[in-house]
Amino acid sequence: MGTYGVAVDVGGTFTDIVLCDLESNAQRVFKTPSTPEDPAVGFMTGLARILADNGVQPSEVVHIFHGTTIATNSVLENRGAPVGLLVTEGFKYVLEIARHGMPRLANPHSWVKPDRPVQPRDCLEVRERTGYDGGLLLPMDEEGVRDAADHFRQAGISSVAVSFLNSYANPENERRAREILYEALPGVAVSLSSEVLPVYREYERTITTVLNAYVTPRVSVYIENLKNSLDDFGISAAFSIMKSNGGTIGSAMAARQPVYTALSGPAAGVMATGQVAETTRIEDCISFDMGGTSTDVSLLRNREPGMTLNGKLGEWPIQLPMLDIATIGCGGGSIAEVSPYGSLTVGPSSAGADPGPVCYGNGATRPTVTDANLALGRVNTRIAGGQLVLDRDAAERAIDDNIASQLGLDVPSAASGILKIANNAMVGAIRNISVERGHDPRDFALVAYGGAGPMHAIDVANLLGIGTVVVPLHPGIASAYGLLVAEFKNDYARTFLQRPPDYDLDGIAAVYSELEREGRDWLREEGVPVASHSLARSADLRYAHQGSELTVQYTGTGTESETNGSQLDRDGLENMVAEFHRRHEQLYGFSLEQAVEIVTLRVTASGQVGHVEMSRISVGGDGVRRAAVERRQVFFEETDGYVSCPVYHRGGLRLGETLKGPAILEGMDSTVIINPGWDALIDDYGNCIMRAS
Amino acid sequence: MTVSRADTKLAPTDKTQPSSLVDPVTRQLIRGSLRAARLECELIIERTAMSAFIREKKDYTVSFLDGKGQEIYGETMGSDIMGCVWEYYPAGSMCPGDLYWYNDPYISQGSITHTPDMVFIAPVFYEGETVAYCHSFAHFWDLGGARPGSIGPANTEIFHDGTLVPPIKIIDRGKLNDEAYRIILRNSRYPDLLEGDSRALMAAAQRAQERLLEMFDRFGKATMLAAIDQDQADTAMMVREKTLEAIPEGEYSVRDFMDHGGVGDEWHSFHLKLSRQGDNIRLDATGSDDQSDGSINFIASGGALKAYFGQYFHQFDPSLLANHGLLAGVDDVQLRSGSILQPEWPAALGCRAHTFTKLKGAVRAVLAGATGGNVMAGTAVYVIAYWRMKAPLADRDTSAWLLCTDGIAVGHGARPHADGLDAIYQRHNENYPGEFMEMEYPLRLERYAISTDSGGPGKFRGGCGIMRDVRLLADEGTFGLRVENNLFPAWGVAGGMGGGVSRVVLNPGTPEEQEVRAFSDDNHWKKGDLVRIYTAGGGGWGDPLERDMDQVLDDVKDGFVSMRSALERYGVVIDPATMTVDEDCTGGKRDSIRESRGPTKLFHRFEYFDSEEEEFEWVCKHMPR
Repeated sequence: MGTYGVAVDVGGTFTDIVLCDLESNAQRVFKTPSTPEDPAVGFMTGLARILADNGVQPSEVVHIFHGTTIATNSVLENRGAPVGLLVTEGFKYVLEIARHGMPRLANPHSWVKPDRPVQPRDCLEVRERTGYDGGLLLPMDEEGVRDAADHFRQAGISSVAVSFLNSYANPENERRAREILYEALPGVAVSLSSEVLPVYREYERTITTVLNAYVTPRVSVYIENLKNSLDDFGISAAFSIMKSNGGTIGSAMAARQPVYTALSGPAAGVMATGQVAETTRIEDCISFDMGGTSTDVSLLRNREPGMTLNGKLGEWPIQLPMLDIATIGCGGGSIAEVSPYGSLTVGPSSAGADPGPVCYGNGATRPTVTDANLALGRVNTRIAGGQLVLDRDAAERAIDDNIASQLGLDVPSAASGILKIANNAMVGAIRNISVERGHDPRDFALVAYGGAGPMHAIDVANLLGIGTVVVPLHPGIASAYGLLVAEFKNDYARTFLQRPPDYDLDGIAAVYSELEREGRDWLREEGVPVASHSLARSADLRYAHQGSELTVQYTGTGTESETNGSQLDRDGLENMVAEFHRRHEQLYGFSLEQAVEIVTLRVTASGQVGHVEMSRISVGGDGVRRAAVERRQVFFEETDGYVSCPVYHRGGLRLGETLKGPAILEGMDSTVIINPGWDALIDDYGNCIMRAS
Repeated sequence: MTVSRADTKLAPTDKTQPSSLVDPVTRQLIRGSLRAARLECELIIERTAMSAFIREKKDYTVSFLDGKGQEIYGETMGSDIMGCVWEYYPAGSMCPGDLYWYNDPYISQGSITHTPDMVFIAPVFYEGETVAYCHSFAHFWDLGGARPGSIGPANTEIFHDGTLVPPIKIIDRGKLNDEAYRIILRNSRYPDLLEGDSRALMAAAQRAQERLLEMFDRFGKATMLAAIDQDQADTAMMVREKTLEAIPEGEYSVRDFMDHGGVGDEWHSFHLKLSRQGDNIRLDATGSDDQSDGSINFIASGGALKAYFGQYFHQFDPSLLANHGLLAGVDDVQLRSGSILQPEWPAALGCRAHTFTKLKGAVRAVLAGATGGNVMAGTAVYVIAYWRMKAPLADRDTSAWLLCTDGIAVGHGARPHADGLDAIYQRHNENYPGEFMEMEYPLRLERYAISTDSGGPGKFRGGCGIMRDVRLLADEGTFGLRVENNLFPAWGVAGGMGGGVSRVVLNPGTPEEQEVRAFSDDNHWKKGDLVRIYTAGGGGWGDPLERDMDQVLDDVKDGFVSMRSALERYGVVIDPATMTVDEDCTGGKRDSIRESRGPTKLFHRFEYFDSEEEEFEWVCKHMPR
């Protein structure tokens, strides 16, 4: 009997599955259409198929890793539960007023505030008050909480968020409120801001807590149902879910704090990029995940992705630690159009999965980036192993009618214009994420995946001055690979303001040990062996009066010691402050001889149950010749016209084989374009490593 | 004296002739690259500036100008940024690596309109020629002057508003002019913040310059210059067409009022007349009042007024760049020297936001006349409170005064298709979290709520203002208030009614309750005192009796509209026991209001009126100066 791990990544269009033999490391992949109404259906169908196809018994599966968009979609599609919010007296409108937020480039004549997940009528106030230092200024009016519970019951509310002012400094009132709510409203879920996000800034903390409350009922039902289905199927494996921070947590934890799983899919892709970087021995790279409606990019230094506290879920800020991923509203389905005054624009409107690009033949008439690729011969008319036949004539006609004839261009020029404009948008975004973190993109390699990434990667690299592009063996299912390789990881944080020169060392040590205790308890609960436990301390620091902080690592002693956790090393603290000055200089170009405040303390708990690696491909002899499919006329920007270009079947290529651009590699899930002036090498993991020659 | 500052004419190109010099794809690539470069440089400012005003409130921009000083892309809003620089440093004398700096509103003739706004300019040299200029801009925290924060309601001379920086070369071929820099920093109460902020702006202008150079390399000089010209011409063509489309032959005039000038009790007003004769579009503001003794004077420029119009029309095709072409809608602008829109030296200018926010709104009011009300209604003027206090914290230097510049939201005008925005400051500026204020200052935020009934009634309701309670925990302090719309609310349009007014109360609900002058400074408060600010709302759009009954009910449930206002303004009868609308009674109530009220008129503020003369007469009678 074998032991297998299965990764299931449910995306908008496809559910991607990787089956991994945990002993031999052999991996098999499978793709099946997603079932948006109930994603569990696609999940179970795909799982059953991949096990059957490979002769694996359900009982042999020991671990299931899952990436899900259910929390995200509940928010984006307004399909959460009816939520009530309990706030401190005076702050009923905290969500409505927010930060006065209006997007920087929004048009004031047309912009409309998005509807909040909870309306003011269901935001109730209770008399209570905590000071910024945690001091109790006003005891909580418990009767007021009971009255609120009555209102919630009458309003049919099934999930309540509690967010009191300054509760990050003292959660006592929030916890007592929860006790009362549990008594008065049996069966109702309660999310506390002091647990979901115990850091300062009341709007951001409240909206994050409300979103958690909003998605909790749906996510917990989903997870419960999935576990039942797995049980019925005979799988009693550990079940973990990907978080936005690039780590996984057990499904029980995910059901309690589902908002942490919001960016699960893109995060998994970035974790796969880290793995690709490791196998190709590249230190610094940029992940480039171009899909149907959008493109996600992120920066990895020393194979480690950056983290941010300024993430967004739809319209809403969520200040949870998450991978620093920038999203551009441009993908294969982005629509090209000519404005009334003659400018050619690409995106952000998208043809989506339905009707999709014109060439899919589902009735769309407005040309997309995919149509432009097809019209230029860059993609085959038969894709996904021939399962899908594309209509090139229709694509050309749409480009001609909507773009070329309007602008007085021929079809190839219009189509290549669409691609250039899309690529230009990517370049701007990649530059911004690099600059934001103080780096020059030319020092990085580009790791391209997603359905469209490998087609655009070299054009984008050329514009950025990037000399190396890597496309993994299965670029269309990179996220599912990411699920397999990710660690267990959870973040714990508490705002604990300390002003110099008298940092309260004992106080800081006490907060750290409490956070570490929570982290260790959780790792045990997940069954992570103690030897693999890792607890990393960090803190958010700022200059006095600054409104935002930088997170820096604490590297002094006092970490990872279960018995001696309350000690704190003054040198370690000073090193941390020195690191803050250095990071400030690197990111912002200057540092100051000014007092540094410690604002929020953080602990990241992580560990691994087993280690999965990517599987290697076999060595071959004359793969290139065997893999050749055809030659066809393909348009490249460099040649500004069609050239005869060899096309290969990607799966037929073997280790160590080299190719010279122009060339095209066609796979089940994606097409790789090797531009003129670039060479490609297939490495032992099947990665296609391309370099500008 | 009448000054007319007509800018270089931009002849609208013939639309039937497609722009043939640069192909449309390259042009879009250049636009996209400009947008990305601007974003990148603005990011540098946001990430590196020191003061909360820039970092949290985000009051900054980066723009690109062509060799003639005309905007390629950005937010200079028609200002002649380069004119005053060239007077001191002719274009021919500039060198690569130079960086220029100024904030002087008078020398720049209003390209900068109050002293905290600092401008940095990097010339861009390509093949030995100055092909462009890059411009960074932000609102600074303190430049000395009468009180912390420099500008303020009670100032009466520009000298009270802090250090004036005439155009200077702060970096000469890469070398910082340290002497000048030290003088400017020395004059601030918070030199660290000033240094951090100015470094951020210098870095942004320099990076912008690098990015433009890269673009000249990538696309070639001839292509870049031609594409810039064509983009300006395209935007000009669109603005011109839309202007002529929207405005029939004739004259349209509006007047708006400012509560008072900071000193004295008299209201002030400006007057704006738009006329079209044939294809000639003219703006005349010479009928405005004389300049104020206080701080609300606004140095308007012809370019700025033209740009306000252009910006309005730019919404119809945002794929075109906001550039110098925005100015093409209006041929000629008349301003009167010595008026509130063209004050004479050395009038104070700090609180000019009161005047220019209303002036921007007046552009819409003029167009309301031309379009039968198809515009956004009047918006309230954004609010700033200057909380000043002696720090009581043991680990602080207790002799120092702390300043908290608190930007506070107001209600915005209702649109022909949607309600006005509730609780927005001004575009992208953000507020301070209460938890940040409490952590950082001896203040406690006790209430931050929607101000019920502050939004002007209408088929689409004006946005509501807010209510903010701040308590002082330090032993002593003062506060300044930049709160407008205390007497004159925002106007409603197309049957919509005016917004609610602002109000400030000290210690409300206690025996010591006291009204505070809304626009004032040097107000004293002591430990335990609480200041409550109600900010004003936006005007409504359309007849409130036509508002959907369920929307009125929702507004009542959510606290935007009171039961009383629902009944009296909207004619909606709600049963308080069931919180449902009584439709029959509502029909009757609406009929009876309609009958007693009579027909609506184009504008509303205090009363319905159709012409500015009609309102002026009413104001002079009921609110004599």
